[in-house]
Amino acid sequence: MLVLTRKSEESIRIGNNIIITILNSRGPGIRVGIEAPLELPIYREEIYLRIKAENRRAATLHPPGLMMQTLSTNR
Amino acid sequence: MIRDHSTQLSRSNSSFPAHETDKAIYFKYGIPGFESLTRFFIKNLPEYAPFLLFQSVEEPEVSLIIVDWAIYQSEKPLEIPAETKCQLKIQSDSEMNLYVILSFDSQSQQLTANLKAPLIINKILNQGQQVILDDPTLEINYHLFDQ
Repeated sequence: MLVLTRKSEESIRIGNNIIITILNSRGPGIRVGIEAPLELPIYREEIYLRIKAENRRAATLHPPGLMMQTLSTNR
Repeated sequence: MIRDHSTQLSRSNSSFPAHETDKAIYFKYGIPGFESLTRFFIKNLPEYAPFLLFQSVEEPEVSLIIVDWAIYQSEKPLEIPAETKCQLKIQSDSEMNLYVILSFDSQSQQLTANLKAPLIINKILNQGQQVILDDPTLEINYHLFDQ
C-alpha cells in the first residue's frame, strides 16, 4: 500500500479526475471528501464486502438446490 | 405486511409481465463478488413465478434468484437516488426495472431479500448496476415471508 502523509484540507489526486481530500476530523472518525466522475461507484469498503459475501452466498443457492425447495414450500 | 403471500403468488402467473430478456443486460462493473462477469440474462421460472433467474452469460453456473420489487414496492418502498438513475441514463421510472436478490436463511428456513443492494436496470438500453443504497435501515437479509 502506498502511504502518504496529509494534513487536514490537503488532497491526493488519483489519475486526472479523482481527488481525495482529508477534511477536519470531528470525534473519533476521519472525514474524507471524494471528487470522482459520477459513473464511478464509490463504496464504504466494509459494506461492499458484506454485499459481496451476500451475493456469493445467494449464488450458491441456484436451482435445483435448496433455493428451489424453499420456493416450493413457500408457495 | 407481506404475510398473506399465497394470494399474490396464485395471481402471479397471469398478471405479472414476462421479464425474460432475449438480449443480455450489460453490467459495466459486474456485481460485487462477480466483478468480472458483465453480461446477465433474466429468465422466467414459470414454476416459481414471480421469482426469476439472474444468470451470467459468461459463467452460466453463476445464477441468482431475483424478484421484481414492483410487487413489494408498496409494502417496503425502495428509493433509488437520482445520481444512480443518471448513471444508467434512466430518464423516467418507466424505463427502469428494480429487482432484489433473494437468499436463504438456514437458521429460520426463510427466504431473505437483499434490500440494501438492489439491481437497477435500464430496460431500454439493457444496462444495469447493483446499487448499494445509503439508507442504513435497509436490511441485507430482509425476511420476505414474515411468518
